[in-house]
Amino acid sequence: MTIENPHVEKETQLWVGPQHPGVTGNMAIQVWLTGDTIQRGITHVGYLHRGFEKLMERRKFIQSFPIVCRICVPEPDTNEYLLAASIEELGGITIPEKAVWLRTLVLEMSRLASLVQQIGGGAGATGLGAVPNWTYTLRDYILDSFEELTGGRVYHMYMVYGGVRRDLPVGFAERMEATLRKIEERLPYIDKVTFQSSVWRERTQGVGLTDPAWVKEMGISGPAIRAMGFARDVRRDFPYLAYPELDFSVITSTGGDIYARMEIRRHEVVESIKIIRQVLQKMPKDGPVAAPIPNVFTWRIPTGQTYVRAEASRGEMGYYTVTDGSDKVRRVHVRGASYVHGFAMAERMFEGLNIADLHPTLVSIPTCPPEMER
Amino acid sequence: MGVEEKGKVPLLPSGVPVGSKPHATDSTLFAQGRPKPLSLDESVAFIKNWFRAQSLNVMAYGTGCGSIELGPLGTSRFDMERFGITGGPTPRQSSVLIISGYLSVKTLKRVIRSYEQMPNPRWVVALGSCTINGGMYWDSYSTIKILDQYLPVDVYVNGCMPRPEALIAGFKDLMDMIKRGEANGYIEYQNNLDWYRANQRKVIKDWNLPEYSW
Amino acid sequence: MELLLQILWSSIGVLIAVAYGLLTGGIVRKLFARIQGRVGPPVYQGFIDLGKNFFVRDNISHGPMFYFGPALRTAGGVGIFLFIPAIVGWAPGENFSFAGDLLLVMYFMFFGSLGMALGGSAGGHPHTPIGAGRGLSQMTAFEVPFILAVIALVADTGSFSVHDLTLAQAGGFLEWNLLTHPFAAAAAFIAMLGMNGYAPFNVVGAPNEIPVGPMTEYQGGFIATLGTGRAIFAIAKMILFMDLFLGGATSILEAFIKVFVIYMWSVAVAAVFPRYRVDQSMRFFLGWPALIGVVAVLLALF
Ligand code: SF4
Repeated sequence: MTIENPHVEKETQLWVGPQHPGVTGNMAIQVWLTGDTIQRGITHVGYLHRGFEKLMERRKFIQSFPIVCRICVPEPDTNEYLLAASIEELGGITIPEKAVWLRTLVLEMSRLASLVQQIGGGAGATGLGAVPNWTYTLRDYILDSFEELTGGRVYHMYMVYGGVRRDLPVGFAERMEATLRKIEERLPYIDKVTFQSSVWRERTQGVGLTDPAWVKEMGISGPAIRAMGFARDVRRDFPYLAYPELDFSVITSTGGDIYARMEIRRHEVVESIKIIRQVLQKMPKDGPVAAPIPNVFTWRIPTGQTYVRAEASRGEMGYYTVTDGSDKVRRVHVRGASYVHGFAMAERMFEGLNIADLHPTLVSIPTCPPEMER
Repeated sequence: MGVEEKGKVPLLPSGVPVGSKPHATDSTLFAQGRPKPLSLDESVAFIKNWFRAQSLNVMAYGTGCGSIELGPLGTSRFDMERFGITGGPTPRQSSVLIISGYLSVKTLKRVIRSYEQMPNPRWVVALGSCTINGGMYWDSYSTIKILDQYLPVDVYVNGCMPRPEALIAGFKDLMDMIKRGEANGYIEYQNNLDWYRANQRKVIKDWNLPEYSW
Repeated sequence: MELLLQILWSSIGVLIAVAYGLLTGGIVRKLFARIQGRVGPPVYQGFIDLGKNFFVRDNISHGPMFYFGPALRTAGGVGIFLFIPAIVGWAPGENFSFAGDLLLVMYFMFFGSLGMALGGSAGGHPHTPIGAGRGLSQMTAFEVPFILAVIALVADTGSFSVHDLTLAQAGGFLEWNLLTHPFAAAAAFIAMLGMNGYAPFNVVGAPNEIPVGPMTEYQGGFIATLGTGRAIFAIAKMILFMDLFLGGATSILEAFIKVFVIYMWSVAVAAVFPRYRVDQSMRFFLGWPALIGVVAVLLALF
């Protein structure tokens, strides 16, 4: 592919990725540089394309579960919830009270794991080796809890149509509490080397700016929009599951730079810990964890369509699902926040950026390549 | 599956066919005489292989979802650096290529290019069921199914996705194989380049790689 | 005959310096790992890496200029080491000190980066010019405080010979330039952070910006040579600082300890700081450190 470039003799063309330690996954960014400054950049994807949306059209409803959680690797549960919720809505199933709380718990845990990892990523992007080491370990503790609850470390497939697969193990709340406390203990250390470090602040403040005018134009969500001072959060604006009964605040910041976005994550970790504590406290002690569903081999769902959304750590995530009375979905469209962030927004942000700030910017947005390409 | 039969199995300097494993026959179960001292060639090879095995550089290329477990593997929970395994930032400076899961055809092209830029000796570790038989993407239109037809895989680590412990075990196996001189995928690739090339060209429609790019 | 003997002794000295450099590199890796909560590689990992790189089978060269990088880098390291007295009064450590060697040594410091710029460019990878440009501009910046500090010392002692500068501090640790010229020492030790290339000044090979910068195309034996050069370069720089500020060394044990302590200063800083962008790093060196250097010169002159 040749891309029109009128200033060939004045610019250096550089591929960042797909084989590069500085991209957030298997994606590539083609940039044109003059000196150290990026004139413009193009995001190239397709390296991770598997055609999820097409694969789901060939599988029965229950068979889609192992596939959807692979759509976003660091945070698979949002995808499971969205598929389950949309099919339940179309198939007319209401899930029991206990399952609502368990789903909230799992969603929030995966958000927490993802946020913690992103803090480490943001610090690691500026060459700070210690913080990613710490945060990956903290994330691992959360994964241990996941393993105890669901049996899977990274991919859980915990939610099924009608509810969840099983109840909490005995003593889960205490062990989760210990994990949360470990995270809280580590946060001051992380603050000291990042948010309070003059070098890190110099590196991130005023860099990778977003423009509030883009919000309407592109459909930005998540930390990227909250860093510009807009308090938008799907959990509060379109409440789902048990979120209306929980007490949490939507963190905003101003500036729209890398620092603001990372700061939001830092505070959202605290909020997320708060939410998990509340969920564990307010959860009904017993009751069924799943409602009965029809035989999954012959289950047919009448014609209908729906859009279900949830807040992932990267922003709004939604599934637009269409069924046509057969035993498979007719069409699923996955709306991931990374898609708008990684193409429209990132390409605008690259203009005028220093090549050294490319990776911190990408990590802070953030982008999740498998979600961009499905 | 192959376009043509794999060529005659090449021999190693020591006269053993590449990839053959010692079988427990009578002659290997019982001592046949006094142990012979290693010849000069063998001892040099032994020393070289020992050094190669103790210092592996993993190329920084996360090709699939398995790469998420490379993070914990490299950081403090399952620190892989204590085995002498570090990251190699560029193909030129790495010796291990981890194919971390499914490979779309578009990535396969880049992987081949990266693999051929790595200096010999080099090894391929394949993670997950996706590289073995396509895994859950067995009917996907954009992924390759059996990695061994396109690149010589030395160690498979199965699972979906394999845990970091499994990965460490896989690396240990690779190290042992290198020390015994059995991890010879790269020799196989050189000797059967036509076979591999034909397979690669079958899936990569817009072939524009140089004929051999190392 | 005496010259031949001296060459023999100095070769032994170079070997010891390389071994000690590799060992220190291993200890540094271990230290970083411990700070990050890891076990870390064994301390002798540097030797294994060196051996492994020598045993890589293919070496892809990009023309004769490509050899300049490792060659000049190693030459720079060996050059610095050979022209400063490592250990006063011990034959392998005496080396070829002569009047004015300080100027030569400072010239050698540019050698490595220039070599990488020349050699790496032959590889043709776009990371090379970016990395080399970064390295050279940062080097220009941190040379300012360092040279000011050196000028202050030279103005006071009246000699451009490292040997004389060392002898001037011979009477116990109260005579060390570290204590008698605190401003010069401060400027020089801040400049050393940049010289060593650890965080926050590791802009040259910044792993996730331009992975390994000028070395992108090097592999195998080239990397092994570069690693050797880097090991001896690091030790030689530390010896220079030891001679200039810590009163030199009279025994091998003293030299080992002093070099290690000086090295740890930049490691301690590196463990907890992120990386500067290159323009920020230049602005840093031309700010306070340069001012401290000017103060040191003024104090020495008046
Ligand atoms: S085996 Fe499983 S975890 Fe690995 S790439 Fe395939 S789907 Fe992903």
